[in-house]
Amino acid sequence: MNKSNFIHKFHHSAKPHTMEDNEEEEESPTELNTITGLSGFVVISPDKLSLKYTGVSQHGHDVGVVQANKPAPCKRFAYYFEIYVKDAGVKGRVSIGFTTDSFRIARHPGWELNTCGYHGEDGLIYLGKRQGEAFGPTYTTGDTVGGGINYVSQEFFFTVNGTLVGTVSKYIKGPLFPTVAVHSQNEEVTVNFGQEKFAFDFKGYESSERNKQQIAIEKISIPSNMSLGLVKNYLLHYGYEDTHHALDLATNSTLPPINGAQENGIDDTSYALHERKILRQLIRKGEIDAALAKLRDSYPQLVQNDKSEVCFLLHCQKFIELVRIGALEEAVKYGRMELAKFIGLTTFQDILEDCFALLVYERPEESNVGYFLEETQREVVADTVNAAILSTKPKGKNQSHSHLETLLRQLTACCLELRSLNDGQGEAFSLNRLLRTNNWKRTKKTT
Amino acid sequence: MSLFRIFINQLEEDDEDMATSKKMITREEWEKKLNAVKLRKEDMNTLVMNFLVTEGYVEAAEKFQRESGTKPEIDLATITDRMAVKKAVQNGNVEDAIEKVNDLNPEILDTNPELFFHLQQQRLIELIRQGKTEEALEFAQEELAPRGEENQAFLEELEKTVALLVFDDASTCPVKELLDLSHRLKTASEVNAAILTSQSHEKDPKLPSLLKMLIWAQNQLDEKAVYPHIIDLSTGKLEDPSE
Repeated sequence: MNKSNFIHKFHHSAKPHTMEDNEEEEESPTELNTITGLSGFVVISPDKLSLKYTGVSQHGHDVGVVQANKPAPCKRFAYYFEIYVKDAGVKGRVSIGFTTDSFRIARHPGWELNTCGYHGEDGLIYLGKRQGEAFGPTYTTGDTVGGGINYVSQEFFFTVNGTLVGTVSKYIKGPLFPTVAVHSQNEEVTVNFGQEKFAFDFKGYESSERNKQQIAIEKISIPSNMSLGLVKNYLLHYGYEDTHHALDLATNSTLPPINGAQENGIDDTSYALHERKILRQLIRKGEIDAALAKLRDSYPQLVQNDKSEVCFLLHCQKFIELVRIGALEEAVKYGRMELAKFIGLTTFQDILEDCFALLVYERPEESNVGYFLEETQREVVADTVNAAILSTKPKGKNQSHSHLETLLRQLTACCLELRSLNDGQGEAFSLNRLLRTNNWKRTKKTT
Repeated sequence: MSLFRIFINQLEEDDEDMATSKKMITREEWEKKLNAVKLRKEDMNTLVMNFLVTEGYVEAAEKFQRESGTKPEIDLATITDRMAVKKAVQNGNVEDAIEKVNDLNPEILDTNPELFFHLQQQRLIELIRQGKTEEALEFAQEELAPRGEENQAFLEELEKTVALLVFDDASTCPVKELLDLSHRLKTASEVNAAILTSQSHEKDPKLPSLLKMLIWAQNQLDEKAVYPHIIDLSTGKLEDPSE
């Protein structure tokens, strides 16, 4: 492993949760677009959530049509919005659907190419043609109608009063704007982009669609002791020796012996297991001096160069430990002595600055660099030292990841690639989200 | 077929290849993507802890909590109780298991008639195994038959089980699989799942599902791209893209 990888690893695993989660967040429609008004035949309420027809409805080009202010977000499983028909007016020609950015005329969604609309007057779906196709019931005053996009099945779906009425292939590419239209006197519609509770159980729909996929996945069979083998390899890789030992005791009697090839693999991962365990223990207890001493003793090559990354991280951690116990003066002294030499080295600069920032706060644990003081930080440093020791393994392939991590990387990369080949639509795989879903008891702090 | 026809066919095939041509991703490009993946150690630890807890490796879970600081999602003490129930069924001590489940949470069996029936059925099987014919008959009539009256599926199961009594040599009995150890394991895992559910915990660990998801995702991506696969999940070896 290239040494600078340690820092890289350190860097992105040390950052708090939210940063990563935000990457997946896209803006969603919040209101009707009043800026690039499509037609002069509507008036939009001040809260930008309802529209009323003001034209005279003489032909097909005086439709009161409005798009949402933003396209439907697509890096997710599905999107959904609803309208409520407050007044179906004289003719009840309300429609709901999706249109693209280039939709620029006063026509119903569905009539033009690359638009799709479900019309209340006839209950037909229009897919870019003047002729509609049989689809769902008609709808009128007092009805709540919803339109959605399922990015996984690549379908539009529509609901009336909370019930799914039909799905149709999503034949349009690119960003799609929720669109609503009114087309006769007194017609008035309000839009719900999720600011109010939906009439349709969208969450339930999503999870049942998700289940369909899950059932297909669960049908795949894998050898029964595969998971156990991966867990053992993981424990060995990270030097969790005691856990590995306990698991070994609990399983060896009940499972057939593992074949030769795998056994070799495990021996390989056992390299310096005990040493790695001891160092992890020391770092987890905050005994950084002892950890450094042990490294000098057993792996001088890793700390020979006192500007090495392992040295840097351990000195940083020592500094953090001093801040933790409130020994600020000592921390400053230690910083001058051991950390000053790293100033100016670009690889370390960011971490170093963040570290020093701990001194600024009266309650550093509550500051934006507070994550340094969390227990996970010690774990991150311990992992870095663990990786460094593994890199000293004289011969054989140097496994920089546990098998488990390798598989999770492959899984994530496959899912991302699938999405990018699907016009960027659909959700990415997130281990973190998966671990927090379903009926797990939330032991995580909910503050 | 005339040469010309073959030629045309060839052309058509080529056309088809063009239309469905897959994206080629070299090993180098793919490795770049793999390295760019962000994975949190904390999450992997949680995944491992979930496996240890769900599978009931309580000592390992305790050690793992100490060594990695990962918090188990449920009280580890409940694992010990759960494993004791599971073990009792595995060893054929069904009565003992039922008592233990009720100690743990009487609602589990109250709200789960199917599970209760399967446990009683297992108890009947154990009596038959031990050759206690009279006791078995009495138990079947008093405890199981009333349940069979309420539920057709239970009745069929019961009839199947009682058939074991008819055969002197159980190995010739068409339902002899009921006497297999695997049937005990099946019942044990059913009760294990019910206890986990009662603790608002999922009955299966997450890890096997993730491995299945990996196979599924690779299969899906196969339709659109050629890229390095992992075929042997136990080593995570990355194979060169073929084709």
